[in-house]
Amino acid sequence: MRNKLFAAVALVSMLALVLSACAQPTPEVVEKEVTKVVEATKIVEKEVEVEVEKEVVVTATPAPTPKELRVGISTEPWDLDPAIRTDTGSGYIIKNVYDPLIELDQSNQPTCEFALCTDWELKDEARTIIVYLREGVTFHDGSDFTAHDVKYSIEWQLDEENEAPNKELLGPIDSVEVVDDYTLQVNFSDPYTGVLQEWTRVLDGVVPEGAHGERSEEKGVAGFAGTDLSRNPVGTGPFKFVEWVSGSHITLEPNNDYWAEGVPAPGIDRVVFEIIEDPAAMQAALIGGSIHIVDKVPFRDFATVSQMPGIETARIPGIQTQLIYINLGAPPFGISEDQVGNEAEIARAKNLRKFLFHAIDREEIADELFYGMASNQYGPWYADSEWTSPDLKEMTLHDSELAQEYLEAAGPEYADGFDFRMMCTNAQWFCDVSTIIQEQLRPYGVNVEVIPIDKSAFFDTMYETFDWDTGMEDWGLSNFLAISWLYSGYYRNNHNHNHWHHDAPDLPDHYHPTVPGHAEFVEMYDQAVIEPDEQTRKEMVYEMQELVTEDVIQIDMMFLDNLHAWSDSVEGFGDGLNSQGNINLKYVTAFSD
Amino acid sequence: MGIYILKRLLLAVPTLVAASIIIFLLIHLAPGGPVRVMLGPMQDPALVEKLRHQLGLDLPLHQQYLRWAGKALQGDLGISVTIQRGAPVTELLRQRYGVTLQLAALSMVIALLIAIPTGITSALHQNKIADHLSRLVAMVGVSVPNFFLGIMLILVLGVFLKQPWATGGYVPPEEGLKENLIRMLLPAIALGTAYSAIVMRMLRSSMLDVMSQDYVRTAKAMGIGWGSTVRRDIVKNALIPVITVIGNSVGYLLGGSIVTETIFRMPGVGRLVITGVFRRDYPVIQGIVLSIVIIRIGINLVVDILYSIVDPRIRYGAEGE
Repeated sequence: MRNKLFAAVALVSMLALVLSACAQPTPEVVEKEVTKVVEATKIVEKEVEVEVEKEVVVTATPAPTPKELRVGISTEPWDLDPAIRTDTGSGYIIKNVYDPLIELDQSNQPTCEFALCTDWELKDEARTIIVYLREGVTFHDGSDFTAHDVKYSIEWQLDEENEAPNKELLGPIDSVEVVDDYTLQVNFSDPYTGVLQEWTRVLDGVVPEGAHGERSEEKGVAGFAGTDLSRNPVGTGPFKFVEWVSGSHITLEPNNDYWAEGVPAPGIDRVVFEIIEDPAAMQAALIGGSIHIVDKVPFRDFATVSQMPGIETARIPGIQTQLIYINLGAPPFGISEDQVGNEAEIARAKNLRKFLFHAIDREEIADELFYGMASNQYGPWYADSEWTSPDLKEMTLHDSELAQEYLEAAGPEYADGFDFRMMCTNAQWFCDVSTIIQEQLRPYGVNVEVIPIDKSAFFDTMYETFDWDTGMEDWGLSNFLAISWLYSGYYRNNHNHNHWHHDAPDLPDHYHPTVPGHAEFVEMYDQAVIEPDEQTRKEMVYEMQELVTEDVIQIDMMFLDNLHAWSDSVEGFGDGLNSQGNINLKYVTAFSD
Repeated sequence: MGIYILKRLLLAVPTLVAASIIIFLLIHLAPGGPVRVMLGPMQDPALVEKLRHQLGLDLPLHQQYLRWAGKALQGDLGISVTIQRGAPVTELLRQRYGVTLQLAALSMVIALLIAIPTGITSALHQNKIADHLSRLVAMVGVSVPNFFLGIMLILVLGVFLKQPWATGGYVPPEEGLKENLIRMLLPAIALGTAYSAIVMRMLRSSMLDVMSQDYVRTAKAMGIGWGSTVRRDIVKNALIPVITVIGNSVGYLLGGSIVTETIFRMPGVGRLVITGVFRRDYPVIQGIVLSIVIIRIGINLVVDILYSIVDPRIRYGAEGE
C-alpha cells in the first residue's frame, strides 16, 4: 500500500512539473510594499533626529515583461572591433552596434542610406575621395561623431603595428585630411576605383577617436590580439552593447538617441543574439517561438520551414563560393620540385586539371545537396555579373567527352584512370560534395579517396605540406569587386592555397615554384588595380579570369543561396536582406512578440 | 577510515598525473591546431609562426606539458586561446559547471524519482503486470538514446504544441528560478530517463536477491510486519549495489550533457567541450577533461565511504583486516 502511495506521489509530482511548465505564465501578483522612510527634523534649540516609520502602500501594477527580440546565430562571434573582425558571427553584431561610413544597398551598390555619409565625390581619376558626413550623430559613449573619428578609424588600421587584417582594402592612401567637422578628404597615391565598394567592408563600423586603445594579448577574443572594443564595442548604431556571455549569448539594448527616425523599432526592449550551433535546435526554436530570427536555414529544411504558419522566409543569391583547391606543387595535378621547367610534366598536370574541371557535374551536386538553390560559376566570379568574362560565360562546364580527351592527353598511364585524394572538412556538406564527385569520376576509372578532416588540420596540411592533391572547401566573398577576389584567391605568392608560386624573394624556403602563370598573373593584377578607365580595367579582369580558368588553378564551382527565416512578428526584417547574409535590424519596423 | 581516505587520496595523485599526460598527448598529437582555426583562410606563414610562438606551441612537447602541469598544480589551467581569448579557463569552467551540475543533479533527481518507486514496485510484484510493465518501460528507457528522446520532446512539445520553453534555452536561476526550472525540465528528463531505467533494473534485481535471503524469510516467519521488513532490511541492503551505479552515473551524466546541452541550447560544460574541440582550444579541453577526472576520482571516493555507512560490515584497510 505504502509503495503504491509512493509511486503515485512520484507520478503526480512528475505530471505536476510537466503541467506547470506547459501552463501560461501566471500574472504578477499585486503586492503591498512597505517602505521605511527616515526623516531628519531640525529643532532650533536641540537637534533631534527622529525616526518616523511611514507605511507607504504601493499598489504595484504588474511589471511589463521586457520585449526581447531573440536572434539565433550559428557561430559565436570572435571579435567585436570592426577593424579587426574577420568572421561572419562578429559581423552580425557589428552591423547593429555600429554604422558604416558607406553602406551597400539591396542590389549591392554603395549608398548613404543607414550610413554615416550623406554624399561623396570622387576626383582626379579616383585619386581623391571627399566624403560628406552626417551631422547630429552621437556615439553610445555620448561623444559627438565628427570627421576626426573617421580619420582615426582609417589611420588606426593603416598603422602597421596594429596589424589590421583588412587594411589593404583601404587602398593606397597617401593622406587623410579633415576639411571640417563633417567633411573628410582622402588622397590616394594611385587611382583607387574600388574605394566605395571596398570601404563598405573595411569601414563597416566607425569608432570614436581613441577607442581602439592599444592592441594586446589580454584584450583579444581570438586570433589576433584584441583592442578595447573587442569585447566592449562602442558605435553609433541603433543598438548598444550590454553583455557577452561566451558560448551562450550577446545582449544589446536599443539606442534611443539613434539618428534615423523610427529606428530602432518601437517595442524592442532588448535584443539577444543566442549562439545555437545545432541547426535542428535552431529551427525547432524558431518554429516553437523561442527565437524570432535565424541566421540561416539548412537547405533540406527550407521547403518545410517556408510552409510553417507565422514564419516568413527568403531565398537570396549568396556570396559563399564552393571551391576545390588543387595542389599545384605535386603530381598528379601539379609538378614536383624536380619537374620545374619540364614541359611534358607541366602539360600532364594541366590536362589532368582540365579533366577534373569538365568531369564534375555541378548540376547534379546542386540538385542533390542544395535542392537547386545554387548558381554555377563560370570562372572565379558571379555568372550574371558584367565583370565576368563573356567568353567564360559561353564555356561548357560538364562535358564527359572533353573530360575523357583530357584524361587521354595526360599520357597513357592516365588514360584508364588514376587515383587521387580529396580532403574535405568534416563539417557541413563538404564531404557530401566530395562523395558525389567520387561517384562522378568512377566511370573514368578514376578513384577518389575522400579524406574527412578537421578544418585546422585541413589548413595545416594545405599550407605546410605538399602531401595532398585536392581539397573541398568554401569561401565567403565579403566584398563586391571582381578584382578583389582575384587578389584573395590567386595573387599571394607566399601563402597561396593552391601552392601556385613563382620564383621570387618572398617565396619561403619550404615552397618551390610550381606550374607557370603566377608571375604573369601578379603583373596583370598590379596593372589592373591602378587602371583608372573602367572598360580597360574590366578587360584586364576578364583576361585574368580566363588565365586562371584556362589553367584550372582551382575549381570555383558554385555560389550557394542564402536562406533566411524569421517570425512574422518581426515586421520589415526581410527588407534589409541582401546577398551578404547580414542580420540588419535597422530595417525592422515593428516587433510584437 | 581516516587512513583509508588518506591512502585513497595519495593513490589519486599518480592517477591524476597519468591522466593529465594522456590528455595532453592525445590533444596535442591530433593534427591541426588552434592557430589554423584562428586564422581561417588567411594563412600568412609569418603570422602563423608569430601566433605559435605567442601561444608557446613552438616549444618541445614535454616543455609545453611541464609548463601547463606546473600552472595547473597552482590552480591555473591556462588561458583560453580560441573560445574567449584571454579568459582564464578556470573562470570559463566556473561559469559552465553551474549549468551542467544543475542539469546533472536534476537528471539524477528525476531518474531516482522514477527508478526507486518503480524498482521497488517491480520487485515486490515479481512477474505480475506491474513488474512486466516496469521492465518494459525500463527496456525502452535504456534503449532510447538521450539525444533521440530530447529531439522527440522538442518536436512534440516545442514544434507541434508550440511551447517556447520546450525548445530549449537557458535562464539563469538569478533571473527567475521558476523559469530556470521549467527550461531545465525537458533536458533533465531526456538525460535522466535512460539512467532511471538502469537504476530501476539494478534495484529490482538487487531487491529480488535480498528477498531470497534467509534473514528475510526468518523475519517473515517471526511475524515482523512486511512493510517494516521491506523498508529496514530489503531496501537498505538492496541499495548497496545501486549506490555504485549512482556513483558511476556522474560520468554518464557529464558525457550525456554534451549532446543534451547542444540539443537544448544550454551553455554548459558539454557545449564548451564541443566548441573547444572544434576550435582546438587546448587549454580549455585539457582543463575540462582534467576537471572531469578529478570529479570522477572524488565521486568514487565518496561512494566507497558511503558503502561503509550503508553496510557497517564493510571495513577498509587496517580497520578491516
